[in-house]
Amino acid sequence: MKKVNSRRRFLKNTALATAVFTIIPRHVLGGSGFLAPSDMLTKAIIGVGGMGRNHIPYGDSKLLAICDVDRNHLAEVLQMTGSDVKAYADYREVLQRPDIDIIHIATPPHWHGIMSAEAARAGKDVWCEKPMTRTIGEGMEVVKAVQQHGRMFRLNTWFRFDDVFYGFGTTVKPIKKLVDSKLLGWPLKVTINRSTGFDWKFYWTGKTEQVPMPVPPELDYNMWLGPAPVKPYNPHRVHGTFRGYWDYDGGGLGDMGQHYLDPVQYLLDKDHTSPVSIDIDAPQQHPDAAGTWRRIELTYADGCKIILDGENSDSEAPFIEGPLGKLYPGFRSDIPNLEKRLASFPDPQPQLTSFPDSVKTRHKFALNEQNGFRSCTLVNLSIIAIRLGRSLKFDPDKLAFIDDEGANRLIHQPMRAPWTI
Amino acid sequence: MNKNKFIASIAFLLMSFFVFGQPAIPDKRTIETKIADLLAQMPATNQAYLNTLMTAMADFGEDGLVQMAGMLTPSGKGNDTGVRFAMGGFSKFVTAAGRENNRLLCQRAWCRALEAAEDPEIKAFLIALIQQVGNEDAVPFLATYLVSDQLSDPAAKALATINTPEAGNALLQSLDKAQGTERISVVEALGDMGFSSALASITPLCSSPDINLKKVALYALAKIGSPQSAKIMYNAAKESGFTFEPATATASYVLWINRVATVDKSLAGKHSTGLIKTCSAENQTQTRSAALSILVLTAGEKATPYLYSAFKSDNRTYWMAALNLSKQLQAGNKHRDGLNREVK
Repeated sequence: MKKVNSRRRFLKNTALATAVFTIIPRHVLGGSGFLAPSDMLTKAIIGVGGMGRNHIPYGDSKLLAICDVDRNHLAEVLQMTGSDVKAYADYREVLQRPDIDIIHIATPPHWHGIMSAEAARAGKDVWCEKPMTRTIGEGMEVVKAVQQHGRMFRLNTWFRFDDVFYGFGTTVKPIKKLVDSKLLGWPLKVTINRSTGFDWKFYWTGKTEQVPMPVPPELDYNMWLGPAPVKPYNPHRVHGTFRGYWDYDGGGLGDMGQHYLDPVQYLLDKDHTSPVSIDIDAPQQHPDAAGTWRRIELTYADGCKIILDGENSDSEAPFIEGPLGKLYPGFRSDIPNLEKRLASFPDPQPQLTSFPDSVKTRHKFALNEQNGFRSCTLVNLSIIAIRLGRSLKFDPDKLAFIDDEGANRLIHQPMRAPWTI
Repeated sequence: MNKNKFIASIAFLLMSFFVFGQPAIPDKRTIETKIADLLAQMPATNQAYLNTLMTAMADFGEDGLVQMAGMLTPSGKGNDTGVRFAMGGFSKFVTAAGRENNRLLCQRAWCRALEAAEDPEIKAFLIALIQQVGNEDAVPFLATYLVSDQLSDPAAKALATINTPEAGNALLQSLDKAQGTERISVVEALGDMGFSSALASITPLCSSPDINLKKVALYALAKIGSPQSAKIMYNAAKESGFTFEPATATASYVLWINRVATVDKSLAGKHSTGLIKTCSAENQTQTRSAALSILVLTAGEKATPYLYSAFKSDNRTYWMAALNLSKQLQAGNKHRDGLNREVK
């Protein structure tokens, strides 16, 4: 510890003497994994065509590298970031840089699993876009890689600890306090629809007929596909509209699912488990292009239920309903004197909501690989049921469907060579 | 027949008519018409309707399904959306429990269609459907494509998903003939299956100058998890500096230790402790943590001295990882209280 303490004194004195904030990469310090609070973390962003650009100011960290398989995206972002950021076409070169602490992953979802796992194995901490992974099997591998290699992981959704929860109109904190108080009773039913404040973005559908087109020269389509099967290039398959294809994502459900479902999972105290049944009402799905759906019901073993009401058919439903009371958007309730009664109950447990703090202290972030895997599983269970066109039963401990080999074949999906996870 | 029986018979016939409806009219539609009628209703608007249509599709029989598959057109050269909806829907329908006969029917039809199709994209579509429904009967049909430039990977993935001894043997038998990217697909599929019979054939490929072939070969050996692979896995990881590089040798070595622990805990323990001692550089912390994690999982209480040693490390990342791991061991908890003041 003496070495660490003297380095901490050195850093403090240097800062006082020069009044200049210095970024000292850990590998230059020759450090032993210790980061003083004043050390700035460094990051790289993989995937800068869309959401990745929002990651530039994230996390109070210095951007050292960007990576994309589209040269135009790289050129555009370099103009935004300046000359001390290096551009790469191959993310593996980024992972090998010893001076980068955190990898931000903002590629389409079919890459999230591989990149998260490999980043962990490369000694990086990970900040990954949602959905966490395209399949349940990939999620299991990410959890194993992150935990086995002692890394920190956060998902890029935050509503369980920050921000107004979409159209509900308040943050999640008072809702969690209410749920934990048991004033609503138990079990609970949560309805996610337009009336309770949530839009399922059904415009993310794929095209069932596509004309193959030449790959534009700036795009490395083979690398863009990565682990996904080779299919003829069409611009609708990439760059934003990839969301409409099962090979890469899961339509509006894939796009918004974790934003909406992760806080609900937290509210219901289900971070450690998954539903036992998935019931659907949807039109038949195309084997390649994601379509719309009407209703998905996720039921847990204790009777708690999450209703994804895509058509807003339950427009009068409360957001949360229990045997003792209901809660509507804006925190309206049928429980008399609710706020006064709630005041006597404890606030929810505090959460670690700064990822730089998580990285420096090595304490798990509020939304990490473990609870993120479970909320992503809610999305992937729903997608599997929709694609198969039938309701399903699931074992949340074995992470396997019951009596449905067709569904089980969608849990672990082999990747296109040479990609493995 | 006497008068009473005659009246009873008429009454029975009348009752039958009203209870059971009109007597069944034989379906005299040609198969072409049946297919067209079904396609006109694609996609089904709900689950119940889908099941009705898929049940009707099963009645087309094998020849009818093959005929429908013959209506597939290459991307951009016609509109076969209805056909793809129908074939995709049927493939999913037959994989539900209790539909084994229909599943076998579906498999036979798609395998025949695969033989008949000429366009590679259509063949790839059919292979993807067979991947959903296939069993060992599909293996000979898929194996044909393991040495095909465009179709080797889809065929290999389908065989890996089927995951039977026949599938593994087909992959193994193609290994000599498959070259370049075909060979990479075959080796990876053998790895996905953890097909132990492939060990001798894959081992020499771990030193291939082709980095992708080397990568999947090491992956395959890791998934097979044989004690015989110890030296080759260790040497490849050592050459990579026990950290990340594109051939992912270290990741494969860690995976191998995980797998070999199921058959030889002592060997896994020896390699885990070896890594803990060797990986002292900061850029190897994650590998060291992984080794400690495996040791805790496989050696239980015997991992305690390594946890104690980790707690004394000045590498916060490493001793925090050890602290989390110590939750799994009673003995480790002795030191947790002492370290609480450090954990801010």
